[in-house]
Amino acid sequence: MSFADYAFRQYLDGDKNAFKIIINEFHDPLIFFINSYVKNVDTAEDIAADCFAELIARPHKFGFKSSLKSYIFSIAHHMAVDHIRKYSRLSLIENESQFVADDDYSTIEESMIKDERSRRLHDALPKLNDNYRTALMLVYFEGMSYAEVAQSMKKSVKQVDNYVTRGKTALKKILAEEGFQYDE
Amino acid sequence: MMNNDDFEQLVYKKADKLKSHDRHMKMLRISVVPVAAAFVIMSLIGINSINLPSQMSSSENLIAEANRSNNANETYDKKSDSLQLDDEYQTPLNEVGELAEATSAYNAGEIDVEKSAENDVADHSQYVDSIASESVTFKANDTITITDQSAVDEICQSLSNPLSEYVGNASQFMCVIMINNTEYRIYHDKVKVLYNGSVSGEFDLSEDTKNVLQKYFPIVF
Repeated sequence: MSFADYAFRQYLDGDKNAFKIIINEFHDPLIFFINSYVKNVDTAEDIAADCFAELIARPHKFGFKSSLKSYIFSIAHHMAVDHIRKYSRLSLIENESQFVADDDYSTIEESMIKDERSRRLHDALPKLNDNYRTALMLVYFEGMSYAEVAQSMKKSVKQVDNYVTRGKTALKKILAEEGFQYDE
Repeated sequence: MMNNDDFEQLVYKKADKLKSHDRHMKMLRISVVPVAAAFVIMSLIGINSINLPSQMSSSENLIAEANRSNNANETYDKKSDSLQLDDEYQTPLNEVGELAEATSAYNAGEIDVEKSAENDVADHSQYVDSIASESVTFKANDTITITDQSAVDEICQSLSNPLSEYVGNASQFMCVIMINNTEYRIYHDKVKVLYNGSVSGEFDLSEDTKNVLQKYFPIVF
């Protein structure tokens, strides 16, 4: 059981402060993850709050069948995709060029993207299809295992493996087109 | 971006909203499911409406009770809300207006109601044909049930009785009025009150009471 899982167990046992630990643990990675979909930090933050609220209001849905991290990223993925579907119809989603990161988000981004190589990868991710992007984000930026990603995406481990492999191939092609040099 | 405290407040606010939404949906499910199930069952067994006992009028209950206990030769037709007398007594004269008309024609224990009764039974068209084809006669010991609430109220008030329904029975007494288990024997000048067959009181018959009874009952004092 991870530290976050343990904290959630304590929260369910009545320790209300334990939820602060969970928020602190997942606040930045969630916003970073959601922002890769919605391209708006405020919206990403709002959806992240929705994810935590879901965890508080409907704790029985979690049931400790997977890790809390898998579960909360699963919620985040679904909410982000729902948001895009909903607002793309209304043409309200802001395109990438309109997005200006504030200082707080820059700090988050810096903590998530350690080097230039990772930044190039991150910037190229939105060009991939949804499943490849989600799998790569969770594996390479959140450090989740294939099994955890599979639980989060509600896919099999084999499918996740395929997504990662094909995602990397597609990413390689995109980066090559952009003139990125990488070591084999 | 929000600071941590504001973000936490936002999370709890959203969680409360979600919980409230869930409670509302749960209540909706609780209230909708049994009603929907009831309608499905009703449609399956062919019931179009439900008349719960609590929704039945007191007069309906009392008439049904009176029919069960007292009257071997009559049945209460709930569907048409009318009283049917057996054989030659069959008549739609269950309405006060009709009884009042019958009263005026009452003569020494026997009255005739002619085809003009058709006008008074417009709401009971299913009986019109049978009424039109025969004369109706009241005799001693006929039982008449009055369902009109205002008439019943007036009669009960005249007998200083708070109950709200009565069955009158013309007999060797001028009239016997049954209100549940209480029997009012109407004489020319007095009323005897019997409870479960035993005399429990007696009072003078006032002119006002006479008038009320005469109005609704085929009595000549």
